[in-house]
Amino acid sequence: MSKARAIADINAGIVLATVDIKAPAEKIFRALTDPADLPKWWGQADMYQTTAMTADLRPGGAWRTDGVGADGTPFHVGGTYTVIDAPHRLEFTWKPSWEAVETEVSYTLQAIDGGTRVTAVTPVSVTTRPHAATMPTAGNGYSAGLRPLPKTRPRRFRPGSSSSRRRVPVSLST
Amino acid sequence: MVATARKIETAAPDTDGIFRAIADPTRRALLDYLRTGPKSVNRLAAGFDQTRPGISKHLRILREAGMVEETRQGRERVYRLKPSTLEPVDRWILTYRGFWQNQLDALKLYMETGDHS
Repeated sequence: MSKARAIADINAGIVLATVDIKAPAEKIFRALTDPADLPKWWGQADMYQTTAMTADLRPGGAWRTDGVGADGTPFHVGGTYTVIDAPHRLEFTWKPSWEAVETEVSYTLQAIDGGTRVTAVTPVSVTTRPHAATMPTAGNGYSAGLRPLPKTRPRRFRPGSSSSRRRVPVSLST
Repeated sequence: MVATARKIETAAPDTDGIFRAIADPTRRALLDYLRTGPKSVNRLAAGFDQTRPGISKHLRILREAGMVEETRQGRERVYRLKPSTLEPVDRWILTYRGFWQNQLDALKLYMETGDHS
């Protein structure tokens, strides 16, 4: 089964990512919600890692993950479970320590031939963009979760716009 | 009073100005509000706690960044979004795309390599 794919629908204001996994939905659901399970995979080698999770897995229950960036900067993400329909559907609010605004995330787990299709959807809009001047460049779950671009790669932003302070290196998905 | 809408301001998009413009939460909220369609200044201001002059100042900054345009319709000033100038912002959205794609890859790797109970 191939790797994850993701689209950003700018008009609808959502990001949708999907992947097919050779595992039953029950086990995947546990990996998404079990504090003993999630820190084992949520992260990016050499970039950042989730170190701990707490979860009160019921509608209205709180969850929180703590982690550390490669430069040692701690971060956390927390929220509230809003929909729990194991093992098919999970929805929760999402408030990272580096963002000012809370958003929502939903996972859908659908049985397919030989495994499970996992789809994550999250809304994005200009209101979810952090303050340009304070946007972190390290210890940040977003920038840390992205592969740095090779130094030779041309900038995506237009030449002549001087500053690089706010820019997160982006590897665009295909 | 003019009967037809008259464009009174156009400004060239400027990436730095755009990011400066959206550095303020009220301006981000104004932009999001305008995503649903053009609105008069009065209607925009009604959705915020700030004073009408305060909202007008934010709108002026957005206008000078080329992100919104103002037209006069009768006695009303109406603002509309210029979506193309939001492109650098929407590009930022793509960082979310990469983030979630990476997370699902990490989940897949974890589930399929058997390093779990």
